[in-house]
Amino acid sequence: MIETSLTVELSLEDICELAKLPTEVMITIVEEGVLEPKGEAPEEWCFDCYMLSIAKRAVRLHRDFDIDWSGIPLYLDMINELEKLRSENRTLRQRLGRFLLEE
Amino acid sequence: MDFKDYYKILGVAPEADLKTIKTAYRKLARKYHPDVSEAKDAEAKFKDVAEAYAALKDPEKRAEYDELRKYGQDGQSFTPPPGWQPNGNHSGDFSDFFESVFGGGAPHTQSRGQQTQHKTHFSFRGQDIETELPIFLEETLSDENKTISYHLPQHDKEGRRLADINKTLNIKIPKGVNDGERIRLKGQGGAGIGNGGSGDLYLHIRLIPHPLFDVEGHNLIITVPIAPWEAILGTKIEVPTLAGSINLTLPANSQTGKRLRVKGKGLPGKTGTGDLYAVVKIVIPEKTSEDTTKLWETLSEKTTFNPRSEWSKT
Repeated sequence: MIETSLTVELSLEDICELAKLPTEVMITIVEEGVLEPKGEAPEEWCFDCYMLSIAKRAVRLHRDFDIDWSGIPLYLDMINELEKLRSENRTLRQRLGRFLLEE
Repeated sequence: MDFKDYYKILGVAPEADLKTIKTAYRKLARKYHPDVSEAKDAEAKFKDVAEAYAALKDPEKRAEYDELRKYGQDGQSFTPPPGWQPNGNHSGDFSDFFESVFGGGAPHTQSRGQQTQHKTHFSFRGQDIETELPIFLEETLSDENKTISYHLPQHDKEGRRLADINKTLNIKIPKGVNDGERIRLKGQGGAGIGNGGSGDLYLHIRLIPHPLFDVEGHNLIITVPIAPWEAILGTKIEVPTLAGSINLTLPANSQTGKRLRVKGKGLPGKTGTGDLYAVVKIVIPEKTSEDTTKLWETLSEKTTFNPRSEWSKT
C-alpha cells in the first residue's frame, strides 16, 4: 500500500526543487504576494501542496504569457474566480435540470 | 515521426514577421492555455502552439526549420535528411519531431530553465505527474482502496524520451476528500536520471456527478418528487442516502422548493460531516382517469385559492 497525503509541509528548498525554480525567483514570487507561506523569514517559510500547484501555475503564466510577477496575483485571482463560477454554474445547472422538463 | 508545419499550427504565412507570429501565438495561447481553457484537447493543442512558437520566435531555429521544411509536409512521415546535425540545446517537453530538428533536450522541466549538467552525465529529478482521479460520492465516506493506472514517461541515461509505460498502483483515498483537492504520492512520478530522485504523482480529485445527489460544499441535496395530495396532507417518505435509506416526515402544506434538513447525512469533511437536504418537488400523474378528473373538478370549484395573487398586486 502506498502512503497518500493530503497535507504536506514544504520548506523553501523543497518547493524550489518541486517547482523547479531558483530560490531567488521563489522569493520574488512570495514578495509579490503570489504565495503566502507561514513563517516570517525565508528560512522559516512553510508551504503546502496547494501552494506548490499555485507556484507551478504562476510559472506557466509568467512563461507562456510574459506576465510580470507583480501582475500574477491578479491573474491567479481571476482564474480562481473563473473556476469557482464554472463549478458553481455546473452544479446549479445540474440542480435546475431536476426541475425542468425536456421540451 | 510526422512532420509538423509550425506555420500552419500558428495559422500564419511562412513569410510572416516575428510580430505576426507573436500575435498569433498570444491569441492561441489565450484560447488553449490549460490554465484558462475548458476545451477538451486544450493541453495537447497548447503544447503544439508553444512548440511552434519556440521554434519560430528564435531566428536561428526558424532558419533551421525553414531549411528542413523543404523536405517535409504537414502530417506526413518525416526523417531528417542524412547528415542533419541538430545543434540546439533546449529543454522542454516537446515532440520527437522538435527534438530531431533542434536536438535532444533534457526531460521535461516545468520552468524550461535550469538544469544540472555534469561533465559526462546528467542528473535530473524525475518528472512530476498530475492526473485527474474521478471518484464516486460513496467512495468519500470512508478510507477507500483504489487501483489507479497512469502513463509514466521514461528516459534513457542521456535523457532521451522513451515510450511511456503504464503504471498501476493500489492506493488509499482518505475519507472526506472533496472536489478539487490534490493528493500527493511521493516518489511515484517519473524516474530520475543519474542522481536525481523520482518525481511525485499528484492526483486531482474530481467527484463524479451522482444520479440522485447534488453536492454543495459538504452538504448533499436530493430532490424528492411528491404527489399534490402528499404536499397538502403531508406524509412519511423513505428517502435514500449515500448509506442506506431513512424515513422522513413531510409536513402538511409543503411547497415545491421546501428544504428538509437531515443532519449528518452529507459528506464527511475535516470539520465534521455535512447534512442532507431533501428538496420537495411536486409532480402530477402523467395520465388521469375520468373519476379522478371529476374529483379535481370538484376541488377546483370549491377552492378560492389563487396561485397568481402576487401578479394582481402590481
